Parts: sequence; structure tokens; C-alpha cells
Amino acid sequence: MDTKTVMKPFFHQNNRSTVALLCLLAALTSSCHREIVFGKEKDLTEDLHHRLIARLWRPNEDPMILVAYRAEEPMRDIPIRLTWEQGRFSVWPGDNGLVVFYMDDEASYGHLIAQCEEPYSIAVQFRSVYGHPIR
Amino acid sequence: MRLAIEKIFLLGFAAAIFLGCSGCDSSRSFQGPFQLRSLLMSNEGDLTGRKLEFQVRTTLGDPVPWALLSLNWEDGGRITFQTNQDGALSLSFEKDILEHSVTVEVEKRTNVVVNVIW
Repeated sequence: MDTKTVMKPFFHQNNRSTVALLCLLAALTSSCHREIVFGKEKDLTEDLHHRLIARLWRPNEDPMILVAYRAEEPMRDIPIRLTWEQGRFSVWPGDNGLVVFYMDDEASYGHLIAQCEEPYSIAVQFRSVYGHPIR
Repeated sequence: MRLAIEKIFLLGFAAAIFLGCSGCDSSRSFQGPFQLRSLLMSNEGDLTGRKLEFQVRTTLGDPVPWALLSLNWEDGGRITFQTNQDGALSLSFEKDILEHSVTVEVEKRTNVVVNVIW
């Protein structure tokens, strides 16, 4: 008795919609729900401590500049997350790769924690010559 | 006929996915200080976790370069961010920020509008 094996092509007309649907769903889930793993924490009050005591950094007046970098290259699209007891939020650098901000007394002593996603690092810059704006 | 229906279905679905991913931009405008909570819990739904672009503009619509956008916590604490040359700053907030009363305002400028786009 002869047996006949019929190979049904995978990309059969009936399967097209299903395959396309699965591909699109995979693309959607991979692009829209990426979990960020944050790296090492940087306590900004600890970084400021000596400058605050020596009055080399004045709250409200002197800027704090954060840079997310990798291999000494500032990253423009990597957000920096700031955490303190008043909540958590992230800020994206400007076109120059810098996050420039000013803090009042409470924020300066508020132990803000700066983090960015791995494998990037955060650097704090203090400008000896400054003024608004910081370009 | 069946193939045509299938194509229409696929195109429609792809368009829906594209719109879902790229997002149909929504925005709100504020003249003067405003509560962050009212923005994050607006009629459009919960905006925590979303990337929000704050654009500082004059009332005529021109960008205010290097503007200073402040977050003022009622419990104490103020952090002021410098925008870029186009008056824009991108922020996203996590849910715990809703436990605090935070006011957003532009420092040292009057007659400006803050457009928030997401």
C-alpha cells in the first residue's frame, strides 16, 4: 500500500495572518516594554559636602551638572534618574549631553541619588567659570 | 477576495501597531504655575512612567532658550532644571511622586507658556 506524505508549507496562505500577528506582537512587546536596570548610585549631597561646608557651592545659585557617559563619551539619550524622599523621576540630557540643574538648601542636603542605566556611569561637573545658561 | 480582505486586515493591524508604538502625540498647555499631579493624573489617564517633554514658549509661541523650569515640593525642596536651546526638557515621573504636592513653574520669566507633550 502506497503512502503519500503531503508537506504543507509553513507560510501557507491560511497562516499568513497568524505569523504576521505574532511577529508584530513580538516587535511591540520588545520595543515598548524594556526594563531598565539602573547602575551604581551617586549621592549628590556627599559629592557636595565639602563644597557646601567651604561655601564653594551655593544652593540656588551654583549649578550642578550631571553627565551620563560611557568610554568618556557623554550620552545624549540616556536618562538620569533622581531619587530622594520626595519621589523619583528621570531627566534626559540636553543636546550637549548635560543635565544642568539648581537646588535649594533642602534639596542640596536632601541626599538626592543619581543613577543611570547600566553600563553607563555618571559624572558630576562643577564649572569654575559659569553663568546662566550653561552651554 | 479572501486575499484582499487579509491584506486590508494586515495593513490595518500594522497601522494600529505603528500608532501605538510611535504614539499619537498629546499635549497640554499651562500658563503660570501648575500642579504636577493634575498633569500626571489628567483626563488622558495616568502619565506616570511616560516621557514628557516640557516646552517653554512665549505667548507668541517662540521657544525660550535655556529656560529654567522648577519643581517645587510643598513639603520643602526645589530643583530647577535648565532646558535646552529650544526651551525643551524631557522628564518622566514615577508613581511615588504623586504622594507629594509638586508645583511646576518657569523661573525668572513671565508671560510664558509651558506645553507638555507625550
